Amino acid sequence: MNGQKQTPILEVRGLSHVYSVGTPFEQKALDDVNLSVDKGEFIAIIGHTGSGKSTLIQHLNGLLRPTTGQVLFHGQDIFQKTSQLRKIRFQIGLLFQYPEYQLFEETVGQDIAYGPANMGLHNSEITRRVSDALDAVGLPQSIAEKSPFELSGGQKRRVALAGVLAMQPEILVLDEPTAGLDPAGREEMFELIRDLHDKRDTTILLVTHSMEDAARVASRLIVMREGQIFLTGAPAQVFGQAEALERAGLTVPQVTKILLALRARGIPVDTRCYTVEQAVQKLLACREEVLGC
Amino acid sequence: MLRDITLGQFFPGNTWMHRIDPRTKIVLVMAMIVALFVCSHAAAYVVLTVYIFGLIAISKLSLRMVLRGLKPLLVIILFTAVLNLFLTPGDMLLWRAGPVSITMEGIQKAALIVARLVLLIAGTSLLTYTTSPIQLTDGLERLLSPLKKLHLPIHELAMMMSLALRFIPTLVEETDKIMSAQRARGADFDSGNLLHRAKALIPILVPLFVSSFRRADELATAMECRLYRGDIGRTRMRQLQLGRDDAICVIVAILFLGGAIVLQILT
Ligand SMILES: Nc1ncnc2c1ncn2[C@@H]1O[C@H](COP(=O)(O)OP(=O)(O)O)[C@@H](O)[C@H]1O
Ligand SMILES: [Mg+2]
Repeated sequence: MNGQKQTPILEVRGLSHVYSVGTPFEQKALDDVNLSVDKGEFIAIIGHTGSGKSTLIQHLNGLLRPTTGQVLFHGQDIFQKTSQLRKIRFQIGLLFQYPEYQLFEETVGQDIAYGPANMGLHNSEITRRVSDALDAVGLPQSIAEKSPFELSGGQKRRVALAGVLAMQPEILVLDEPTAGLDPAGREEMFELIRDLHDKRDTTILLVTHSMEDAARVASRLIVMREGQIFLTGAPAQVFGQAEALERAGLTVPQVTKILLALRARGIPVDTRCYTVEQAVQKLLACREEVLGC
Repeated sequence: MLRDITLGQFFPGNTWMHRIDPRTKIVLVMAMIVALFVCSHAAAYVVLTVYIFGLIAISKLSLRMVLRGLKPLLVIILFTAVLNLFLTPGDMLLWRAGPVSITMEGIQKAALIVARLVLLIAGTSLLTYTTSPIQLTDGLERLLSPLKKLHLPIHELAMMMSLALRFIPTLVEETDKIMSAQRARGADFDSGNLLHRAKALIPILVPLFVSSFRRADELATAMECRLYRGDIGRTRMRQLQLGRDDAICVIVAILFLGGAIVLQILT
């Protein structure tokens, strides 16, 4: 509690958003959302389809304007000067859901260069960043000369990610980056995102609707429900409230479910865990306790 | 936002007007257009205004919504009104400056043009606001089906039209999404000269074309998988049926539209 708390890198205050105001299709998608992100955090935003996750993250770089409320980047309201909005978008990189559909250039290299070119960088710097971004997403340099339309789905998605990384944003916001990938592709994508956080020190906000995925990688979870933040905290804290989650129509990770079921049958296992490795530890500890060996 | 375009959009509802057979509505809208162009007297226009805005009230459409549909055409309406106001020659001169003048006839003509266009748009949007695109094309197909005897591909045209209408919202949504995605990479669509702006559209148009072709291909496959083979032997899920409400609707229309035309002829 003592010591100076640094200003959060990104802060959302009292954010509400209503779509199609004044038409019969009016819809409140966000309702008084508050959150703050510190430098170096890895946050997962979880929630059902339609809970407002995508709406929320499109406010973070000013693509959507709040109906009420504020978004602060380094303590500055991003909407204060509209002329600065574009610059802010280079610092808060946002990767949309199914980003492969945004590819448009003749070659992969040119497509990745689109962001840096919009930043007005020199050609030599752009080339450096393109090759760096390809490295970061684990694609060979030779792919830069290919057409993005001849790549596989997983490759296209990495190219799209590289296109955002090439802007070297301070914060990376990813909207369901593993949606529609096969299990191997998901695994690779997760490895990649984890590396971006661990090795490149990027602050990451990851939107997902998979509890397992969120539990595995994030240091903090934000659970959304009907446009509001329903629960927030470290994974252990959030998944400790299994009943509240289930009432909200969300589930805890499969392993946690198994442990909860075991406990319900009278086995005194500690259920505060959410990965398979942890579960093994807890079960072993439990066996020791019960059998005394 | 792109999504906020309302002219020609359907608003789901369950009012009396929503349940009227689309054929009735199409025919009556055409009758209304004829009446609007036949009439020019103030008395006739009062009757037509009561008729059209009465129907809007029955359909529970908000007046704001209907008037918002006028917005894209506001410039045209004002432009023609101003032209008529200043350039109509006439006997009752009220004001003149060089070649332009305002006459009583000019004022009347300008007022008529504004009233005619506003009622025209309000009346036709009444049709599109209360009739789903599917119903609309169904109705058109049935109305035009006598032309099938002349070997005109009415069914195919109607099918194409309903598919096109069906995909407009999808396309708008997709455009919105792609624009946002490119904006997130620093795209700037609103500044620079014309050439610059045209170039800025490439990152939107290419992905849009690619996905449209992919979607068309998938749709064709899906239709073939369900054995679609055109009009021959095809039955309908929704049978159109004229009922008592349609009769009432027609009688009301005859009273008002006929009344307006009679007034026009008498005065
Ligand atoms: N462009 C839009 N126009 C109108 N309503 C929208 C739009 N985008 C999302 N919504 C609505 O807002 C709510 C939240 O959607 P979204 O943020 O996409 O949720 P999520 O990403 O969690 O699935 C949903 O009810 C959705 O129907
Ligand atoms: Mg979403």
